Amino acid sequence: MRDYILLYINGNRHIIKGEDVLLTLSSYLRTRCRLTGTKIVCSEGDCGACTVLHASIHPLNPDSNQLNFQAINSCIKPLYLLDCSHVITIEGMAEDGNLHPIQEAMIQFHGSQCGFCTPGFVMALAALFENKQTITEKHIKNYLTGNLCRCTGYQGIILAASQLIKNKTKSLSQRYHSRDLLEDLRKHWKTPLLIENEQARVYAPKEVKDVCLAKNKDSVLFSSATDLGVQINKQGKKPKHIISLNLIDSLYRLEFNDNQLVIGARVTLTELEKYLQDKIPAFADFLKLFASPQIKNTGTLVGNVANASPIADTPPFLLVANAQLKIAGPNYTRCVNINDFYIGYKQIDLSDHEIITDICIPLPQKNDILKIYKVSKRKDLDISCVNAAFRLEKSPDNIIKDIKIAYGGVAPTPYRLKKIESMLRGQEFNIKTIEQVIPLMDQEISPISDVRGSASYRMQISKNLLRKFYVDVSCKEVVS
Amino acid sequence: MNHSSLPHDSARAHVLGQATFIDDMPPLDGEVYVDVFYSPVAHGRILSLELKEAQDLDGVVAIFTHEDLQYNKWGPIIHDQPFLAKDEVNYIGEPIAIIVAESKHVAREARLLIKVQIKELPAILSIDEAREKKYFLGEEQRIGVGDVVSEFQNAAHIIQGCIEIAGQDHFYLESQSAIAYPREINELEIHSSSQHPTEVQHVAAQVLGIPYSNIVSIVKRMGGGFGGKESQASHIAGMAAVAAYRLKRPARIILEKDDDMIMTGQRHPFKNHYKVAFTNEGKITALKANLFANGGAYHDLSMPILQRALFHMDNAYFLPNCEIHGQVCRTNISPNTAFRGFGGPQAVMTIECIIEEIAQYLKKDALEIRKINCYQHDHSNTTPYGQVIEKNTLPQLFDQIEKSSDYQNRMKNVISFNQGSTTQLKGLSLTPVKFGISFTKSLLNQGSAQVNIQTDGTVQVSTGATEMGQGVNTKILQIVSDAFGISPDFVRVMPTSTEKNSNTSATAASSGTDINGSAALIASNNIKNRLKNIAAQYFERSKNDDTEIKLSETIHTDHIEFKNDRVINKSNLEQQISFKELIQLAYINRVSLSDVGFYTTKGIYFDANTGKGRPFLYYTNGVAATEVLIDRWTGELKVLRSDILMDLGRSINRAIDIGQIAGAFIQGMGWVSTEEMVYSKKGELLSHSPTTYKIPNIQDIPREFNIDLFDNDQNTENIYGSKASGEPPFLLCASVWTAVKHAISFLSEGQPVSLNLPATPEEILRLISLYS
Repeated sequence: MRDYILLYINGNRHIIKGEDVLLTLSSYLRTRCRLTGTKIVCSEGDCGACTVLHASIHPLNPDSNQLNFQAINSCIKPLYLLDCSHVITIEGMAEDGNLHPIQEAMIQFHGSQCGFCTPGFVMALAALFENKQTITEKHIKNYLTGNLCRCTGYQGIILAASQLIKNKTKSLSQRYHSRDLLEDLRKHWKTPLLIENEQARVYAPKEVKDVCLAKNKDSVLFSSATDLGVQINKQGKKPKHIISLNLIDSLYRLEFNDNQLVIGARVTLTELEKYLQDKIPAFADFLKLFASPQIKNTGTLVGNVANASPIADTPPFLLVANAQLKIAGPNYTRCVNINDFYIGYKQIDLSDHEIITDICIPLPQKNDILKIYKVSKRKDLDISCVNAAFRLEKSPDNIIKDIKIAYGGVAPTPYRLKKIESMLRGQEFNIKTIEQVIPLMDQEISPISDVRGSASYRMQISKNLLRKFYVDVSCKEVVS
Repeated sequence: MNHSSLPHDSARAHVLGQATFIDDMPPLDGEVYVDVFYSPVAHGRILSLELKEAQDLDGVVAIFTHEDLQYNKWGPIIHDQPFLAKDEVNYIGEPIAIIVAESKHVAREARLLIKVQIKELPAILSIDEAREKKYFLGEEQRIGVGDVVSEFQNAAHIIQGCIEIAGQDHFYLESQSAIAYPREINELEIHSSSQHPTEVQHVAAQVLGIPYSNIVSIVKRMGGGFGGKESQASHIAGMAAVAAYRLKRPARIILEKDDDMIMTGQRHPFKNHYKVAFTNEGKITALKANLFANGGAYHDLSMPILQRALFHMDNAYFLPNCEIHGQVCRTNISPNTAFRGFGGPQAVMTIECIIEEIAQYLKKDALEIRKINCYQHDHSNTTPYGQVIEKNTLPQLFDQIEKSSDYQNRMKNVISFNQGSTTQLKGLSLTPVKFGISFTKSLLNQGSAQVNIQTDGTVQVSTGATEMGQGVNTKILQIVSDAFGISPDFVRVMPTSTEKNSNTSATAASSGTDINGSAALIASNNIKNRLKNIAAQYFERSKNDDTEIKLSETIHTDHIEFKNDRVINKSNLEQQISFKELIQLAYINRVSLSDVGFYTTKGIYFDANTGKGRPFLYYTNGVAATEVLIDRWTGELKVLRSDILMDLGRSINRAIDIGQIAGAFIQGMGWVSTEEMVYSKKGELLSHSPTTYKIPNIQDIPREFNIDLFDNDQNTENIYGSKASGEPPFLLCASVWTAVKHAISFLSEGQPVSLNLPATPEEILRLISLYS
């Protein structure tokens, strides 16, 4: 057992013990290291001002000599989840007084006005610089989706980023990752972690069974804390009994066999999006609208499912895909169909001693039509008002052989519209059929009014999404 | 002007993460952290306030209430707001107590331990309710011209309507923050994120009951302001001042984003009723409008904001007969305040709504209606308040953008697209802006500057302007370096400090550079005249003459030129001296290398009794054409293309001005589309963080975004022939909103589309459902 975490910051080795491991990364940087370039605005991972680069061991690619840097939100990341990793902050970008090309470009092309969001933008662009060979406008926008700027209208930033040429600059990974540093991280990764103090007990075991043995009704399971971090910051949540999944190698599994995807609990949404691009493109594309790169770089599919939010973005797809959840208990494993997993508002079929280890998704049939929708006030980086997934199997003579419809944001849980499904089955797939079942929505779903939309608007959208699905499938109108 | 795209003077510090904002200042030994306990109810009577439990919490240093203040009122114009609520609370977020603790964490915990008993009173939350109960702030305001009554009697067509315009949060990235340091014997030094350091100084002095001169108020920079730190920063900074003064310890206050959004005011919501008469061609013959602003709980800046709204009801259009009334409604939400445009946008949105409806009614292209109503050069060029529009560029701007945006062809394409699509709608609209530049309160149009040249030839400039990202310091730096003919590298703009420049106006009304840059030029020229005097004598005398040079009243200096870091005798180019050498020469000859400049805007006045005058020095004009795409199933909106053409005179810094245009337009686009202030029935703001309040992100900007500047060297009234750029482009966001209105009009079959603002997907779908 280790009683400290190992974290490198801008190449410098930090051993962190005691209550300090409970700090968020941004607090540690700003108050303990006096690295105040990293800014705090929202404390909920929704503005990107606190963006830093993060590189961690990937246990299933142990041979990799370079760790890959990705952008994360430091304001919602407790330090104990960063054990055995390396963080680069804005202060680590310039080398021997020479600015990084991103910094030069941001100056020259007026990418900053008030400057408060600037360090976050520079770091998000650094992730782009590290991960892409060529830099297109599309890449720029995708990498900066998680960063808000109130001054520039983003024009100067896009202009600066589009001037970047990679060739001559050493990557940060090359600059910082010495053999010794990597060895140090790998060595520490092998030892489980237990830190106990007055505030909390932080445990990061190496095996799933140890999680199950340690877990009880008071413990809080931490994978990436993209939601728990917000609860800690905003609702004053103070977990006492913390179990981190960070060091469990088996949870990083991402496999495809027997026409089935197996996605481990520590597989990030970014990895998943990339991996699924040629396997389930509709879902991979949908993930592009999911959260920000900073969140997806650490957030997981299992986390999104286990969080049990009725408006979570991935469950509607998983419901129509008939995904199976693999659940481990202290001395057993079991499988649950996700359609049986959600019991009530924020209630799931998971006992205090269990964890979800993997999600298995059977690949949709070749002729299945799959469409996933999300409606929100702002297209990107917004929580849905309503989301939906449709999976249709049609006969050659246009008869609905099977249809699965799942909605989010219309019931206390992610919800399958089974009455409508059964009404549609066996019918011809035409607008008349669709219009016939639409009045059933009023009985089958019960949306509420909140900050994201009124109940009547949600109902209207829910109906319209079914119409939209029909139109999208039947007459592929050219979208300008 | 040289260096016309000089980078922001803080850009290097920004990208290195070294630019120091308030919370980046290292904590001093003994520093305390300040938090605010505020009202949880919108309107009520305070029955009891129980502090004991909070006071007893380990790490709590003190809790201050109204009893601890020498004077418990503040307000930027009228002191009607309690600094800390005493008997009554009037909005959720109204400060009741100041909590001072050893750490942020403890202060936050203490906040949860304070118990307040409040007897809830009925809360007024909407403009309609306030009107019904005649619950107003200040007097009604009025502007008018001509004979409205008879024009309506003889009108060919009349449209009446109403538009509801919602508020907007500033969402500056750096929340309200300040640190106050106790100095010797009842003195304070306050560093804050404020657009108005002088007001911080005054408010703090007043609540503490000490002379203004005991306080030095300093602003290095803000992480965004947009008007939100014009008045309300003083309230927050004042709390740090109270803690520091009473405890003799440095005190830091940094509002959490959620608290900031709940506690501080926003852009005023308006509900505007209008009635317009027009000819068959669409020419407006008479307009009657009643503007109702939601002022929130206290005056703040509502009265001048309403006044600016009245001044901008015409936007770019000649109104021969009009009668415009305005009234500020008092409600139980946080006191609404300045926000980029200062009431102008809400009026402009109303007249652009009217124009769009005239076009829809007459089944004509809205651009045609706009052009025939546009102010002209030698006739139809007097505003309802009597100011003649001189050097009007609006007609040329319309002509130029109509061509450059390919408006006519694209309009044809939009029409045919909408005929062919059952799932999507497009809209295209082109709107102008004419924004009056000057504080409408004439006395505020004064600026001061201090220029100090060091003996190594480098220069420090201090002015009353505060830097919030808009680039005012960079422009001032350019003005001073240009005056001395030296590289911008040798000039540094110093933090704004009431010790250097007193009695400053807020950096507001887009006038930061106009006023303070002009003052800096005066100060520079004062020194330059002495330097020229010395240089002229130096060039004339023999090499080995080393008697002291005294300033001469008779010597000619026209031949002395400052250029490329050198001072040159234009009559004899062999006679040159480096700027640095001249500075040393001046120093050893005991000539002052420091001076101050004071500038006042000339020729502006307004008589509130008659509603007539010349309130503005000039107008900044612009036009924008925007095309939008709407999903008919979900109401979702995508801005496909925006073209902007601005008349900024001779821009001092083109890149900075383009940055102002892009930023203002996108900020405005947020206001009219995704940014929705959602309140509960009890008046509690529900959208108080970026999770629930959606400002535009990088994916929301127009897919194609073209910004250009109009060629205009005629604005000689202002420094270097430039025009102010901060607020005016914000109002071009009208084009996004009117484009939505235009798109939906394809479904409404000639019925004016009563679109409210913001045009969220929900609002758009409401109208689509209405018409289909």
